[in-house]
Amino acid sequence: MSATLAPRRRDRVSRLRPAAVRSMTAVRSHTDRVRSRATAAAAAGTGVALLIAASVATVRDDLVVGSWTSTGPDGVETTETMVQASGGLAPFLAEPGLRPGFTIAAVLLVLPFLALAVQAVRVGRVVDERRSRRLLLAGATWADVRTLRTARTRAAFVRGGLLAGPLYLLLWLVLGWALPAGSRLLPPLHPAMLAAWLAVVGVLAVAAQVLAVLGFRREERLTWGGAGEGVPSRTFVALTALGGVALVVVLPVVARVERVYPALLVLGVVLFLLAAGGGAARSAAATVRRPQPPVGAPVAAPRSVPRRHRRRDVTVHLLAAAQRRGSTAAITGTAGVLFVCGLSFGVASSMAAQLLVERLGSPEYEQSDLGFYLTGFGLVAAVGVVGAVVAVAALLLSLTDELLGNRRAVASVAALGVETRRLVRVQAVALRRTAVPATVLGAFVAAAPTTFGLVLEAAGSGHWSPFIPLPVGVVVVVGLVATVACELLARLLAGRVRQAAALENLRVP
Amino acid sequence: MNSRPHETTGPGAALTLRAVSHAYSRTPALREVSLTVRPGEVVAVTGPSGCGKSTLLHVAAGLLVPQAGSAELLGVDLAGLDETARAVLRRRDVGIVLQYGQLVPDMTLEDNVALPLLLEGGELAASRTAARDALVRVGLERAGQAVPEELSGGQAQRAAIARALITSPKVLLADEPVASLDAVAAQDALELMLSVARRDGGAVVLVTHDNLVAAMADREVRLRDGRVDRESVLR
Repeated sequence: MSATLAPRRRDRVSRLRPAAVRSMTAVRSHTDRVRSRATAAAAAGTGVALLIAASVATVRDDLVVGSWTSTGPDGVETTETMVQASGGLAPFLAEPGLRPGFTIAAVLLVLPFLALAVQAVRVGRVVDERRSRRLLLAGATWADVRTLRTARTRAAFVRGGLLAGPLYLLLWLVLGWALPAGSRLLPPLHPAMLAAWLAVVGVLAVAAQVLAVLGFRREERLTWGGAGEGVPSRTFVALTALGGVALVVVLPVVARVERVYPALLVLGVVLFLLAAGGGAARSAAATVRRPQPPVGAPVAAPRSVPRRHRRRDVTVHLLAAAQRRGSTAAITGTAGVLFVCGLSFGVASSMAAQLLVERLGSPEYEQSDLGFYLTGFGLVAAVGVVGAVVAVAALLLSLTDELLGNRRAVASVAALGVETRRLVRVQAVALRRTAVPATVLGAFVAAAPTTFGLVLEAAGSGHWSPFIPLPVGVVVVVGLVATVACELLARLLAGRVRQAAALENLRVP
Repeated sequence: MNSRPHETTGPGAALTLRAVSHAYSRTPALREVSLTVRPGEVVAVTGPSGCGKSTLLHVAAGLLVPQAGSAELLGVDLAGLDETARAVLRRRDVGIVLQYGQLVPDMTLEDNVALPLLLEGGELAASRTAARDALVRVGLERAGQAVPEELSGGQAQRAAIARALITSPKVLLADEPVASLDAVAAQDALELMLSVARRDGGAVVLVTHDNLVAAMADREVRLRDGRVDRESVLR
């Protein structure tokens, strides 16, 4: 007897037919539904940000707002005209000199949404690993598993891309049509935006493919909840940071790159953010990798339980620490996204501080256009709102992921007699210990340089504005709000905790 | 019943393990185990908990690469195959039933059973028809659209047996396949699995701690502390 069908070269690619892939990736479970919806929503946010960037980048200067004639030293008269965009746009968009900054901001707006999409794709990781292992047991190759996983991710991203068009239209109605002339933040609709929408769907489909392939690591699949799983490597953090420095600082010095510098700046900032997010994720992972006491050592409250809590409900903190140790990958993902959100709060507070110091603190700007500043504050608010929406979504995803992945553990603890109220506290504590440091760190990284700059400026001019400490003050507020948000969200999801604690979950393998 | 020293090799063997050793961290699970299973033969691997029975089965299925020794399945040295090739060999010629069913969550029972055919590029409709027939054989004709979470342990186990048999495997490897079944269902499931050897000439390896299950085999190999302790021909 011998193997009748020897493995062939073409076995390296999946033989699954499209109909089988569709059937096998159909959304049937609660976990898949949550993941699919969250991924599509985050992809839609990414798509809208890309459409905003595309619409702003294609604004044309077609309105002459003034002209003047001057005579040069050689007696030749030259006439110069000042042009800007029509359509009643706000100065940030209408004036050619200010527009690139707005475009860069729109492009950077993609980052938090993309980070959220990455986190959403990882929701239900434990369930996903179980599925992969069982497929492999049934004779699937890694190519089959990869095909199924990519199909699942791509479907959600494409749905998000298709949703981005109508969402942009809604946004345009609010920010581009309803606002009075002179303060509109989106240019008039243009047929080219239809092509941009289709392009965004394509870009998102490719992004899903890349994300699925990059996220597919055999080693991860072979380990079960290992402590180092999903943590960005030190090399990744170092290389992205160095790449950022090279693009933003070194390249402009050694080469003539003035024309492409805005693009280099965006790319450099993206690399910096990836490095910083990776660093935040590594730091979050480090907090759960505490050495365990040797067998036989006296049992005391573990080091992962903060000293101030040791006299309180130690059970809650013990369970929260255990939960965090078992979900390093989810923790690092959440910390990375919240760090980016923290950055957006820091950027928003920095922008607000600069505007306030300029507008209210300096007599030089007393007579300047109030509308200009109001639009600026509108932008600040938009950045802050985006950060807050993404942060809340990231926290909700994190909690949902924990409860989906640890159903059996939660049910076991509940069966032992831990009441739901305490289980909700466990979720709140675990979430807080991940969320607060990451958000505060992000806000501080963005706010500190601005504060330092404003202090230096004030020291030079001798004019000390009361708004100078605003960015650093916002860091403290961000920490407090994050703490309260974790508590509220855990209570909001108390129903989900009760579901996870149901005895039937003891049967979940 | 008579005892004899275990064979170390065999021409045309369905499964041959030669001096296989494997350890988890510092805990040895298998120590120089050799075993040959011929086509048409049913071998029961027995022994106390932790003696290495499941590890032996995982090595035989190519799920685990042993740290020492060699494993040949249907004449193919598993160490010479990469992961993909081992997976392909497994889905074409081997049926596996592990403890607790190991069905894919979130897939209907019908699709779970059809999986080996779908992975081979089979048409969805044809594969599902074959799966329905296989489910009828294990008495689950009404549960085709259920997902594993909705099944009892015994039903899930019977579905896993249906999946293992759908490709008419040349080798069937089963780890405590009837532990979660009642006496009647266990008897039916065992007869179904043994038909691989009795009717189709395949080889069957049953890992079990149940003496009644072991008694249905042609040969019993008893493990103790990762070594072959005793080998007995039963029929």
